[in-house]
Amino acid sequence: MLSKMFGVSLRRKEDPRLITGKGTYIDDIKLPGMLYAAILRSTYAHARIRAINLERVKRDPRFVAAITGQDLVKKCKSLPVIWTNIAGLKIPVHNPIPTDKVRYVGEPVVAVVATDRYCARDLLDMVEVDYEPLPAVSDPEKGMEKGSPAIHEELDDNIAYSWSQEVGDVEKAFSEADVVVTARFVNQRLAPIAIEPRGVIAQYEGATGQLTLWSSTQIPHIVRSHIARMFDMSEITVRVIAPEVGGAFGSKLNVYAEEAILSALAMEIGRPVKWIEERRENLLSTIHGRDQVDYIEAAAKKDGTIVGLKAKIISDLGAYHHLHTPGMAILTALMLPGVYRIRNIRSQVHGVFTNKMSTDAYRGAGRPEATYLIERIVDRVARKLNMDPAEVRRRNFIPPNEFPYQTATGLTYDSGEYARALARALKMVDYQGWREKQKQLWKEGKYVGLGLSTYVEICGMGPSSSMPAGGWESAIVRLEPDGKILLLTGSSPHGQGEETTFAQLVASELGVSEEDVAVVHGDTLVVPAGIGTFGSRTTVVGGTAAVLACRKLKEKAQAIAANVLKTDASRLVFRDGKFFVPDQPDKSLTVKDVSREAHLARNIPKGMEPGLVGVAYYEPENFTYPFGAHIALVEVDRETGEVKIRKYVAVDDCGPVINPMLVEGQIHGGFAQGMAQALYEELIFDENAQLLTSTLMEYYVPTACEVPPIETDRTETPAPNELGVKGVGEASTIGSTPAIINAIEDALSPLSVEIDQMPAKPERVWRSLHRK
Amino acid sequence: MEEFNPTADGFRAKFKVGVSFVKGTVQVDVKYVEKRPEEYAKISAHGSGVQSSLDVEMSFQLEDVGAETNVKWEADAKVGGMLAGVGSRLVESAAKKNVEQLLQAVRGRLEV
Repeated sequence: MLSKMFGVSLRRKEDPRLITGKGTYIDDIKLPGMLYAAILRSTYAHARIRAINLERVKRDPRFVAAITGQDLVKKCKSLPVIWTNIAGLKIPVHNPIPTDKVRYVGEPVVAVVATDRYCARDLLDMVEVDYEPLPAVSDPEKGMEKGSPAIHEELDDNIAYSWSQEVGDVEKAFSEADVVVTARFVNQRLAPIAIEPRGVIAQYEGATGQLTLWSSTQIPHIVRSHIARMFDMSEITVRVIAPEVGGAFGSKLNVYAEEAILSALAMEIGRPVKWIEERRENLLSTIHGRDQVDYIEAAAKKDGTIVGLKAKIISDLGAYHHLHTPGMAILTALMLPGVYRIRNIRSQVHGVFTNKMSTDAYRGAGRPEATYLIERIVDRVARKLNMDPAEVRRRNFIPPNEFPYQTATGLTYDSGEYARALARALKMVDYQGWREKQKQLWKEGKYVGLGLSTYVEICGMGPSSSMPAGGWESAIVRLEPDGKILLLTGSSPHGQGEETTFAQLVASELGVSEEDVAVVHGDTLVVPAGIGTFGSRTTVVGGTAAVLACRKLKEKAQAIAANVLKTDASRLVFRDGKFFVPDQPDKSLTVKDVSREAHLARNIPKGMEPGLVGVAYYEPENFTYPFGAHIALVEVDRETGEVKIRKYVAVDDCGPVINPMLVEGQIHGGFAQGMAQALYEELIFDENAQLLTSTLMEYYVPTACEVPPIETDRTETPAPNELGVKGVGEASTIGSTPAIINAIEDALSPLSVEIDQMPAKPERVWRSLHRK
Repeated sequence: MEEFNPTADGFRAKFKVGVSFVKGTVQVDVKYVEKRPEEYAKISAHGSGVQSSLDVEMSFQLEDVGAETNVKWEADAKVGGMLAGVGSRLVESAAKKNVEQLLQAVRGRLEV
């Protein structure tokens, strides 16, 4: 069957192997002579390392090798941070294993290698580390204060950067406003929790100097570049393979200490070494997300027009910069006006080091925080003015005729029709009906509330001029002699289903069945170049590259077909997988026929090279800006503080949809994670920066039992790009969190209870109810 | 206790511990910070093991109450690593139990 590019819910090509347990994840890979590493991690948030005693470990017959910070620093440079275009950004040294002191609980101190995983783990208990405990910084606001313990002695203080932006006339807007609403919101620290934890295998062939790294990563090509740089190797001698990757949500969009540690160990020992992260290590030492303390003020007119915003964003960076750490809160500031026409904005961002694991890009990466800030404060404005929150939103929306719209913060929103998405969501939830019922229910002591969130996000990460490591993507489409098609993509999907989406794109472009298309990704030796999968960019950028590669291939195919059919190429039409002359239907060639001709090379135009390959590097002109409207209907139990979601509607607009089933999956999954932030998940640190939620017994990840059914719909506003697509991977995470919290606050509005801290767990809601 | 070795200003001991599912051996170095016989003692202890760390300052104040002696004790413990996460809520009760056992043992010796 010939494939259509849009609107076909093809079942996932990936699933047969994955759901029958035949996928090869990193822990499934076993190499001859493979050894296993375990990593001893700091138990202190901040302490000087006085001595490390490995004597007992080395005497054990199971011991093979060990490496400390002092050993590694001789071979390996600092871990990378690439989001560095921030004036005055302080970048401390970030050795994969520290040499002088530990700066967060979970930081690697020693790696030990043994003949099997359990022995390696047992050996860790024999390592003696003499620490001198130092006072730790747990709270970023305290960390900014003078006299706060110095996390990096070489820096003046713990403030890594201060960034500000002032646009319009903020003072005038505030002085002329009828109301000013202020709030302090906390976007708590979250753990991304991929089902498959991280893992690395390193193998070194001394004879050729070839290092091969299997890593559970979203960005094999970027890992290759940095591992090569850190070890002063040529990129030619480093190969990175991302096998099946069991989820990431941004947590594998990084270059991690373990990738360097394992590389060093493999090079030293000359045998392959594997490390698989334990769940506790995952909670401690894989990047965290969010963690901002935000102060916001909104100035509005009586009619609900919001005329100005002031924001102070304090971003808890953790102890070091990881790949994108400094940029997260800047994205928040840039996306602050959301879907609204607000022209006077002052924002200040302070990135602060604390004694915790780094924060970095977690599903949404700075945009959930921005959406939370603006959507929460819009509701507070509505309450202050005694207006309906839907009406305040409508009054402030950027109207459709103003696109492309230049925001006050300097972004160019590509296309949008925000009122349409909101209208659809209001209708689906029966907004007016519930507003009426709500009054009665409140009288009965039932605290039911409606929460709105109209969001816009920044996706399709590119162009390169706005990206720290390239905003393009590559594709090679190769027609094999048997007519089957191979797509090599620089994207690195890890659960999204793009083997299916991309097969659909290629198949429809070349007029073949998607079963004839194989999609290969995640191996730097096989796929020459790539950036990776993150920031809802894969279909937008990688998918477009695949289509453009097909179009290049088709040009050559058309020339070959014309030669075979003895006609002029300009007379040929391509439809339904065939090149044909319109008035001579018997003169036609399928793509398969052309492929055979291209490889036999006996009947191709004179001077043309044999073979049939299309190569494209796609560089987008702008980001994309998907948007939508989410509405939650919740009920709060006044006695227990428990919040129940009674109804939830999500209307998302990601442009034309290639595979509706996969888009639906992203909306459901994204909702689960956004809801998790609103109601369940938080990483809790004590005053000594010890992580108290370091297992899944304490860190509450919602399961199918907690996730309610949701109703979804879409509007379709194409992006002005090649395919019109916008990306959808993060949309629902961004939209859902404020909708739920707004609903809780709406439910409790008769009691004048406000929610400033997430998650709105029963204990916290109950305390808010009983604060007075 | 698996091992006990006196040092110049205290002792070094090895204990088997089990708090929640955290089980293993912990090495503890105890130092007498201040000793006023029949009146007051202050010790500091540093322990490590089971991917955890423990830093404790502990003082004992003896008070004559007629024929009996009242022992007032205070402890400030900083727990790190695995125990901080999984056992923090259990550590306080476990510490109280251990100190009380210790004092009971002392009483037992004195009353023989």
